[in-house]
Amino acid sequence: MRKDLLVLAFIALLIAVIVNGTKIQSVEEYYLTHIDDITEDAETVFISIDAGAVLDNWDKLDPALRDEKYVPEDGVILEKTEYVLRPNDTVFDILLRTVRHNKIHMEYQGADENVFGSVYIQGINHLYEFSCGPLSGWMYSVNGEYPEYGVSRYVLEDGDEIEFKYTCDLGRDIGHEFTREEGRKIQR
Amino acid sequence: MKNKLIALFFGIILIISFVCAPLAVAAQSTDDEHVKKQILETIDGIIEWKKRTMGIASDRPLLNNEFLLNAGDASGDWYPIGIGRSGYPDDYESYLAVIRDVVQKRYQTDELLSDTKATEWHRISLAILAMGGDPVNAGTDSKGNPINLIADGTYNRGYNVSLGKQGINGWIWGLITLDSMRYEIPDDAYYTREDIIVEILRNQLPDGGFSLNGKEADADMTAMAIQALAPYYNSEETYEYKQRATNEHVEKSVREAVDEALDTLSQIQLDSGDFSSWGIANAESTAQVMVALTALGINPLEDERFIKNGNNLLDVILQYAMDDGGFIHSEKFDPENPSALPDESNTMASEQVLYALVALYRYLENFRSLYDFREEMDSALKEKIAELQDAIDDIPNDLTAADRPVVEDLFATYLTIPIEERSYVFNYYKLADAMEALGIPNTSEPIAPNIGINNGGNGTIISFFEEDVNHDKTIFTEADAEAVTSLPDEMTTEHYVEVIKLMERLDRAENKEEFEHLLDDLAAKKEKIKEIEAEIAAINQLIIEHLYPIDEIGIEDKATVEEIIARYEALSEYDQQKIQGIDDVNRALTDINNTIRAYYISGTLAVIAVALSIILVIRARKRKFNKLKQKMLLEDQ
Repeated sequence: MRKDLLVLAFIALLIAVIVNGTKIQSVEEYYLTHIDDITEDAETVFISIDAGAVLDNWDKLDPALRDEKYVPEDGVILEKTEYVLRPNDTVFDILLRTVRHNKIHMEYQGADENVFGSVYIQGINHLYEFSCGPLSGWMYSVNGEYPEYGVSRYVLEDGDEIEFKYTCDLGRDIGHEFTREEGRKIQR
Repeated sequence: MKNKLIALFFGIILIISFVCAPLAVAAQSTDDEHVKKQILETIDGIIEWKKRTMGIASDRPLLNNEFLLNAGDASGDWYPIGIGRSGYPDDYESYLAVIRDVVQKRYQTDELLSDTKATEWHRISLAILAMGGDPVNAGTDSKGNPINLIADGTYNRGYNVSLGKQGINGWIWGLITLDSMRYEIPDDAYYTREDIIVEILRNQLPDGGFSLNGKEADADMTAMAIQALAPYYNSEETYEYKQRATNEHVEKSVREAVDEALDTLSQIQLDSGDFSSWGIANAESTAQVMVALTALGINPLEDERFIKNGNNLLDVILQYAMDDGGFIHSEKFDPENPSALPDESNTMASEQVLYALVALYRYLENFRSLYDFREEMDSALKEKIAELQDAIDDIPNDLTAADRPVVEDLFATYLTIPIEERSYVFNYYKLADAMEALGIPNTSEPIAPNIGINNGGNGTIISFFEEDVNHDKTIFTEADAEAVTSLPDEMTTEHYVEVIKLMERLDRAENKEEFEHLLDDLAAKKEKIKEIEAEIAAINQLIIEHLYPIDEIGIEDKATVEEIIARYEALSEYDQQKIQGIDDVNRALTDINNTIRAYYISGTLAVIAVALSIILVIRARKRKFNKLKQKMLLEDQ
């Protein structure tokens, strides 16, 4: 009788385990599959992608791109989204993860293929440099500051907020003047 | 007596000037020799520095396989342009082979070289010319037609997208490229030279300069605009257009616009002789001004407008030299360009100084200007131009009617010079001014419609150095054959450059027949590399299409994920690096496998639980039965 109770308890335990889930993982497996989980003590950053400036310069936009598919009605391609910051992540790492996870088109030039010595973002969501006039292209800021150097050179810290913005006027329309080095290097 | 004295006085003056003139010339020429030697040493130093940064031995070419990986892009093409224009010995042929292949590959895509940047065509065309190639014949496109980079990148660019889509740079570099061989523009072309010239002029700022953002003169952009307009400096044609910045209607000749730009450059030059843009003095800005001055035949070493506190442009540029042979961007830390450190040679500063020094040397040697890739004029014509220039210099400032025949005569000589070469009469403007003062009608033909004379041809290479450039190497050697046979059977994209190089060399070799058997092998290898490239692209596409959002990956995706991993693992280690997001694929597979394992565990546990339950029930029944049995037994008793 007592034995039966023991067995009964064991069955109950088994059911409890099954109900609770049996995804038993090794430490490596857990780390690999949960690397981007946002937990309470995880370091995170925020990222948004915005092409709002194009809305005010619609006449300058490449006619082939005058579509909601490329420029959403409110200009927002990606709302502010939180991502886990892995050690030594640069702005580029986060952007790459973001666009892949959200299936947003992005084209870039590798660090060894250009004169920046950094990855250079050519186009996001099919909006490229010069898609909206000769003074247009993608710029990024971290915590409101425009860092003036390449995305793959900017190492992020916990809580940083990255904004990718499309400018149609060398940055003046998004509150930041484009600079000589950027201009010169991009153009060559 | 008085007359005698005067005669004596003039005699002495004459003697002095006869004696001193050669002395001055001699001093001048030894000075020049010294400067030229210094320029050559500096050029050599820059190339040696660049080699060291890439781990290349001094006696090996800079344009090695690693460098050639960047053929056809902005980080690759400017060193070859500087090298080619100086004739520095290097592997020109290989660069040409690879850049042509890169162009052909990019021509397979819809955007060709670029949807937006015409300057891709310009830079690549100049690089091909510098390496001794022909951009009019840059391979074949997907339909089998010859690729004409000049047509597609300049006068016909407008059929596709505006040459100025990227701004003023597109017009400037378009014109530089168009005049690099004085290309002829066909009648059915989209743009004429005049169209492009006007677009550049329209962008001139009220202060006389040019800039990217259209506010105030930027040294670099002003210099580049001058470089483009230089071949038209001697044209009397005026252009009517609406100035962009002011919306005013303007009528101007190129000479007037360039003179304004030169004034602006002289004004914005710093007291140190430096040029800065956006507030920081830097080597590149000064280098661009040097190229602009030499294009106009203004001596950067002597022209007073560009010497500040005794510093000429060469003095200024050399202040950016480092002991290692390279050049720094700026002596101050430039927050706008943090990759360029004040104490570390910088690749972009070095490459621009390289071609600026090449431009200066070409000027001092009386070679064609930096971006004029045509064959040198014959010596008779050079001589004629030199004499004409000397004679123009002798035109007195205070003209009288007596000077009229001389001036008319000089103008007649000027008109005998072919129109496309007239920009090399650097002081023509003095003649034009004299003619105007004397009321002599200027009947010189407009330059723009008459400057186009060539439909193709290879860029000319002239060597500053004793070693001659062996760019027409036409023998395929045993060592080359050895290089082919030592290529591994298993191709990877790592061998791309080597295969292209050897194929081109063999294809062009005089003794091609001797090694014909190797050509098939090389072609097969090239084909294999193309397949691998396609496979890399396919795997990358597969990952992007099927893996995201990664949270939604489930057991049903197992086959796809395993396929990706299998195809990834089939690649060589080198090619595997070109797959993006393989971490995510592994993560997805782990996740899927964990889920499957969890199902198995749950299943097993469930089976155990059910079995135990059955045992429990059986036991309970047994007990009940036994109880019943016992009860019956008791009752029986």
